[in-house]
Amino acid sequence: MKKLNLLLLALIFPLTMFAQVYMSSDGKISFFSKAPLENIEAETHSATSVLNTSNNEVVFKIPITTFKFEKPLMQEHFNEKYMESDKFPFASFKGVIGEGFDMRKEGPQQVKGSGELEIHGVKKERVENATIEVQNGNIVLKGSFDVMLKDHDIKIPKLLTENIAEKVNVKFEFTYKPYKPKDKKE
Amino acid sequence: MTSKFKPLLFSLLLVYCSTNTFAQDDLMNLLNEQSEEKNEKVSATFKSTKVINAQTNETVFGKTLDFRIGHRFGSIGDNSGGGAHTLWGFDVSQDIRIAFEYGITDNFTVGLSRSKHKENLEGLFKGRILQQTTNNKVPVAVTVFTSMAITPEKDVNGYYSRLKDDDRGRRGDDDNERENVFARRISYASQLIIARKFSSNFSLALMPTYVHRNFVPDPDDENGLFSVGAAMRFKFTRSLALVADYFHTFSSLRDEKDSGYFPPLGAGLEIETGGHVFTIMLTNASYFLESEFIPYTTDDWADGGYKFSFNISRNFRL
Repeated sequence: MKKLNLLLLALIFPLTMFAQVYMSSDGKISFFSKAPLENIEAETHSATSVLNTSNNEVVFKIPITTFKFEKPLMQEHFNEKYMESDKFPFASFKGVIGEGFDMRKEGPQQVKGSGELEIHGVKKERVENATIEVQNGNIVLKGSFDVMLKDHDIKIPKLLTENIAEKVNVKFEFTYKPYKPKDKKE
Repeated sequence: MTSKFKPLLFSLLLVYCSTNTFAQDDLMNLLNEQSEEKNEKVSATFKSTKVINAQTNETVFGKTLDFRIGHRFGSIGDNSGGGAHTLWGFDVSQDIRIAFEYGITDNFTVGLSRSKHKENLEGLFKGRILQQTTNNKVPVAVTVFTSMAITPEKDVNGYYSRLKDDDRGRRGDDDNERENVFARRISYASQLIIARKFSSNFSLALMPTYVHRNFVPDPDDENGLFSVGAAMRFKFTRSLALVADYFHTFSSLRDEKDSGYFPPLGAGLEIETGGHVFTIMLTNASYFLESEFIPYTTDDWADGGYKFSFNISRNFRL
């Protein structure tokens, strides 16, 4: 009986639940759009993500106002007029990295991520390719995908269709470290 | 194992399973815990450095040139010199201002302008002191504005010169015996702009202002005037906003009944197209500079003294 109790205690000990959780707090996301008059480019290093390797679930959270543009006025318009970042301060992705990811394998592995992408308050189911690699106990996840502005209800005034493209290419790169709960408050 | 332990074992197993399957929502909560409360500066309280007559708390972005053109047509109403014979003021140009305002950094702007009225050449400086933050730790934005204007116009009325005393103390009386007083051509304005963006659609500003004119033609007028302005912006679509501003000047001369002076009031529509800001408005003020429209607004809204006007701002990234 004692043995059983000890075993149970060990099983429910809460630390076990963090063992397979990896976190990235300085994820890089950049986007690029090519329009007849103007290329639009911006980048942030403040995206966060958590990956649970026990079931391959992954979530991303991207603070919209941290995107830096070359032209500050463009940044203001991006936040105020198009992304409405006071109403929708974050973009997010909740999903799973498909089968085939093996923590013990060396070298880059091709995976499929599927889940729900939320931008500008509008959710959209997506399946996208990505590359994942284990490097010295850390996990690097990167890839790129296209976002159609109309999919997320981001409206471009007719007058500016020459300046702003319908399709935006998004690149991401996250480096995950094993998550330790005590790191929560630095 | 006795049967009474079975429920206990089962429930513990359940607890184990539930803690170990880390749901996506839990992952998201983990992220939310990690990100600290954002404390960002509020942007776009106003869309341009001017409302109608008034300055806003906004400065020009760093390394950006704001090229501005403003035009005030004549009064629309018959009783204020408008009516059909001036095509309701469109034949008249009360004032035209061309300005170059440059952002040295995001917080400091310097500018030069030239106005038609009195041919005023103006140098201006604008600097942010405080910026409102999203967490309301700083509830308002505060910007300081100061300008100096010099009029190089011909001294037709003898405003910028005085009679020379001759060596016997006798005052001369012909034009050759006048001496220029350059200082009389100069006027100044200093202003604090206190603004708050209440929501993404609505902003208000208060502007305590001090205007000093080195020379006033009316002997009853005060050289230094204290005035308080108020301005608002209400955005009703992504690109369109209603704007208005008003100044009240504390001046015994202007408080008198039938003084002929009126408080400048303007209201208009602001159209923002990404790089350009157009403002089309009606105002009873005739001139652009603070040291002109605050003391010298002599048309009355009630008497048709409002004028069609516009401001255009174009930003160039240098």
